[in-house]
Amino acid sequence: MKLDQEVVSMKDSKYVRLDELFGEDKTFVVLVRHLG
Amino acid sequence: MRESFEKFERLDVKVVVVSPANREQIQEFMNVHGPFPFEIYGDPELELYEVMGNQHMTTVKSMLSVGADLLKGEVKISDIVPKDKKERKHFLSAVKTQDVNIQGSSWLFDRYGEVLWKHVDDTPEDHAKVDEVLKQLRK
Repeated sequence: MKLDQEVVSMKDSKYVRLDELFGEDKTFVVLVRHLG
Repeated sequence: MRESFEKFERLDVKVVVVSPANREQIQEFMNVHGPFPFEIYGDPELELYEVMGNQHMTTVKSMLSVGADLLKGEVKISDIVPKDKKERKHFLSAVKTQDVNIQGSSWLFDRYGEVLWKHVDDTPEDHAKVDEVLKQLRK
């Protein structure tokens, strides 16, 4: 699956590609959901 | 989810939450509910939601689904609408301004982007519980 879609970061308001958020040697958990 | 943050941390995984909202809407949520321990990202155009195959219910189907759960006694109004005045105000505003019919999904990827496990919700009740995600991570 290509995960090159951009999402906006709450930390710095920047748009980042989801696949750039993968942690090295870590399982990456993405919870796609409404808050609350 | 807040209460589960430490459980995820202990498993040494990277967790991000992607909400179908813009930055201002997410900030408003945090102003009312307090800081959120996970990294939060917004997908206001629902591009990622579409790629991940998240289900989109019609408003009628959503209302029927909630109505059926209420009638069956599986859900109470207080489970849906917060009692706290500020939280209730935010909830009602979010219902008007955000796409509440889009359903969620939960994903585990390895570091190469290969899907290890996923759960795409059919309905709001079909939400993958955090405990299920943790169980999959421990496999």
